[in-house]
Amino acid sequence: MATRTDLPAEPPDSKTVLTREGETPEEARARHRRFYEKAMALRGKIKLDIDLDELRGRHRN
Amino acid sequence: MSCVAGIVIDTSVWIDFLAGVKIRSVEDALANDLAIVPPLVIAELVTGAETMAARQAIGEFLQDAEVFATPLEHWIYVGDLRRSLARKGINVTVPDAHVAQCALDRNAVLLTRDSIFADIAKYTPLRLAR
Repeated sequence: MATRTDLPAEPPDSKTVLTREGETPEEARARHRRFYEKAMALRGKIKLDIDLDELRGRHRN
Repeated sequence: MSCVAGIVIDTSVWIDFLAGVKIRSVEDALANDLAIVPPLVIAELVTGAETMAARQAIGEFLQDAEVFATPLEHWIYVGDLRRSLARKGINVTVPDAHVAQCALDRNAVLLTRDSIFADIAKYTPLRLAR
C-alpha cells in the first residue's frame, strides 16, 4: 500500500524553493509564507459544496 | 527515502482542511514551502464556494498558491497514464489522471483522501500521503 500517514521526515532542500517565472527565491518564500498564513486563517471557515465524483466525471466511467 | 520535491494537495484534502480538520501533513507542506496546487484543483475549490464571501476568500487565498504549470508534455503524459492504466483494467478520468500526473511530473507526494489514487499508485511510481 503506497499510502502513508506521515510525510517523509527529511527537511526540504532549501536550494530548490518553488518559484514562479521571474520570481526570486526570496520573493517565492515570501509568497509561500503568505499562502501558509492565509490557509491557516481560512481553516474552519469555508465549507465547500463539492461532489468530487460528479466534478471529475467518475460516474461516466 | 529521498527529500520530497513538493507536496501536491488534492481537492479532497483541501475540503477537509478548509472545513476545519487539523491535517498535519498540509500544515507541514505549507510551512515548508512545498505545497503545490494543480490548476484543476483551483477550479474545483472555486466551484464549491457556496457564498460570494467564500468565493472571495478562496480567490484571495489562492493568489499566492504554487500552481502546477501544465505544458503540452504534461497533457501527453496524462493521456499515456490513462492508456497504461486502462490496459491494466484501471479506468481513471482525465481530471484524476491530471492530478496524479502533476505529482508524477514533479516527483512529488500527492496528499489525497480519494481511493482512486491508491489504485493508480499500485501501477505507477505515484507516492501518496493523507
